[in-house]
Amino acid sequence: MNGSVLSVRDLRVNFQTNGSKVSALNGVDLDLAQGESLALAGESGSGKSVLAFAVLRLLDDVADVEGKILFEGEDVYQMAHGRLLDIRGKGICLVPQSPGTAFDPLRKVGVQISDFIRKVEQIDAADARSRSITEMDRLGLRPVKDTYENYPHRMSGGMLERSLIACATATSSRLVIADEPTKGLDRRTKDIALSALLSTAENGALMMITHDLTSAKRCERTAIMYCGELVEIGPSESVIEDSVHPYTKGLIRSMPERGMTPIPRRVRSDPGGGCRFYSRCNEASEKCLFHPDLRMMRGREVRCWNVDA
Amino acid sequence: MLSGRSFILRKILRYCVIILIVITLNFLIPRVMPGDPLINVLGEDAALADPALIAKLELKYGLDSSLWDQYLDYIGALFQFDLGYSIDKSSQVSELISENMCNTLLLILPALAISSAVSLLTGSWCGLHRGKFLDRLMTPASIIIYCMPTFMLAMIALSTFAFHLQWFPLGHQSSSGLSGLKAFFDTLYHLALPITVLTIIGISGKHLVLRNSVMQIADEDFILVARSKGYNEETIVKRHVLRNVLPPFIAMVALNVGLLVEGAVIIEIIFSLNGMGTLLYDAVMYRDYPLIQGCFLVLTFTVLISNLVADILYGLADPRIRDSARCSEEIR
Repeated sequence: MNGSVLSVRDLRVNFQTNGSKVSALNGVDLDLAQGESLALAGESGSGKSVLAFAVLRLLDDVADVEGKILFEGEDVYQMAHGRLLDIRGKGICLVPQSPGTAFDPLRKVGVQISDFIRKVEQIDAADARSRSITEMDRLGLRPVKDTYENYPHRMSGGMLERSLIACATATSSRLVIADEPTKGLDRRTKDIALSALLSTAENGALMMITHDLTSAKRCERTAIMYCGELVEIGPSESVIEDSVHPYTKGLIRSMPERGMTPIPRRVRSDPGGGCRFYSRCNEASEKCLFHPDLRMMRGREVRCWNVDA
Repeated sequence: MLSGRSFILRKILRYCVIILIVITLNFLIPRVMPGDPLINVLGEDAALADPALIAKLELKYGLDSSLWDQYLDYIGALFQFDLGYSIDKSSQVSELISENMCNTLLLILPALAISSAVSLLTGSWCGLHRGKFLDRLMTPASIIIYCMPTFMLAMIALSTFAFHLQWFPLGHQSSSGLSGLKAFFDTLYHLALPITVLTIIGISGKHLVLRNSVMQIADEDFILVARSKGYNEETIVKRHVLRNVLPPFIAMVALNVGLLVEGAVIIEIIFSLNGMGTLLYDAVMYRDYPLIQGCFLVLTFTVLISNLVADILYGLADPRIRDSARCSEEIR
C-alpha cells in the first residue's frame, strides 16, 4: 500500500483471565496514510489503549493477538526482535496514559526525555539535552531549566503529561500514538500540546486516543470505538457534527455543551452475537440481532443496520 | 531548598539524641535492678561483717555519690572511652570488648558481604524469572530458613557437618601455635561453618525482599513505557529495575546488621567461639554489671551506626525520601 504508515487488518485481542476469555478487540480494520491524523474516541474499556499497545506489540505476554498490523508495509508481528526494538520509539512513539507513573521515579524527568531523544536520534548528550530543553520550553514547562532537573514526584500531572508529549514531539518518529494527551491540561496548554502533536503528523501520521471530542475535531479523521469494534469512522467534521451511528450520537449528547445526557444502561460484559450496542440503543430493531458490518454511508463508514444512505 | 549536607547533618543530630537515650537507659536499668553490685562480689555476709570495707569499696567504685552525680561521671567516662572495670574478669571493659569485637566482626562482616552480594544476584534473578527452577528452589528454601530459629540452624549444621561428617572442627576460633598464612587458613577452617550459617540466614531474608521488590518494580508502568520506547531488556533491568530496587535493598542490609549481630551472639555460644556473644553470656551469668552495660552499649552502637549509614544512603538513593524528610521538617 503506497503512502500507508499504519495498516491494521482484522485485529482481535483476547485476554485470558481465570479461565474465561475477555475479548478486548473484535476485528478492527484501520488505515493511516502519510500525513494523516486520526482521533480515536469511545467509552473507557472500549479497547482504545489496547489497540495502541497491540500496534507496538506490547501484549505478547498477556493476551492473544490475531490479525495483521503493518507498519510501513512491514508486519510488526513477523519481524525480528531487533527490528521491533528499532521501530518502538523510533518508528512508532507512544505517549502513554497515566503520566504520574510513566516516568522512572528515581531519575530526573529532563534526563529521561534526553535519554530517549539520544537513543532514537543517535545524537550526543549535549545535543539531546538542548533539544529536550527547547521542546519542554515550547510546551510551556517553565522555568525550563528547573523543570529539566526535577524528579517526577515534584511535578504535577499536567506537567508530566506535557513532558511525555515532549518525548514524541522532539523526535521525528513516523507514527505518534498519543493516549489521552490532553488529560489534565487547561485550555491554553491543551492548545499548545495539540498543535505540537498535530505537527508530528507531517513526519508520518498521528493517532490520538481521546475522550474529548472537541480535541478530536482537530484531527482529520475520527474513529468511534465501541466494545472492541469501530462503529463509525470518517472525516471528523461529519462524524462529530453530523453523526449517524446511535452510539456516536449518544456520545455527542453526553458532552456538557450538548445537553450532558448520558447513554442509558451500562456496557454489557457479554454483548452476544448481534450488534454490540443493541441493549443500549434507542433505535434498535429486530435486524440488530444480527451483527452489522461497516458500510460506507454518507461519506463515512458506519456499523449500523438502521442508517440509510 | 535544603542541600544534601543538611539532610545528613539533621540525621546525625537525631541519632545523637537516640544515643543519649540509649546511654541513659544503659545506666539506669542495672541500677534499677534489685541487689547491690558490691554484695554480689563480696557475698551476703560482707555487709554485716565489715561496713567499713563496703564504704571503702563504694568510694572506689564511685557508688557513694548521688545517682545524678554517678550519671554525670558515667557520661564523662564514656567520653574518654572508659567503660569501667569488669568485676568478674578483672580487666578493663573496653579492652575486653575491643578484643572480642574483632572476633565478632570476623563473623559478621564476611557474612554480611557475602549474603548481600548473593541475595542481590539471586533475588533479582528470581524476581525477573518467576517460576523458573532457581526461583522454585530458592524462594521456599528462603522462607523455611527465615522462619527457623538461629540456634536450630546452627545446631543442625554443627551436628551434620562437624560431628557426623567431620568436615569441620566442632568449635573454637583456631588451633594454637600457628602463625602467618597457616594461621589464616586455620582460622578460615574454623570459622567456615559459623560464617556459612550466618550467611545463609542473611541470604534468606534479603532474597525474599529483593525478589518481591524486583517483581513489583518489573510490573510498574514505567517499565512498560520503557519497553514501548524500544529499550532492550538489559537496559531496562540495569537502568530502571535494579536502580529502583536499591533503596529497599539498602534498608534491608541495615536491618540485617541487627539480625546478624543477634545471630552472631547465639552462634558464638554454640560454636564455642570468643566474641561479643560469649562475653555478654558470661557477663550475664556472673552478674558483671559494668561488662553487661558495656556490651549492650557497643552492640546498640553497631546497630545504630549501620542504621545511620543506611538512612543517609537511603536518602541519597531516593529523591522522594529526601523530599519527604524535608517536608516533615518544614511542617515542624
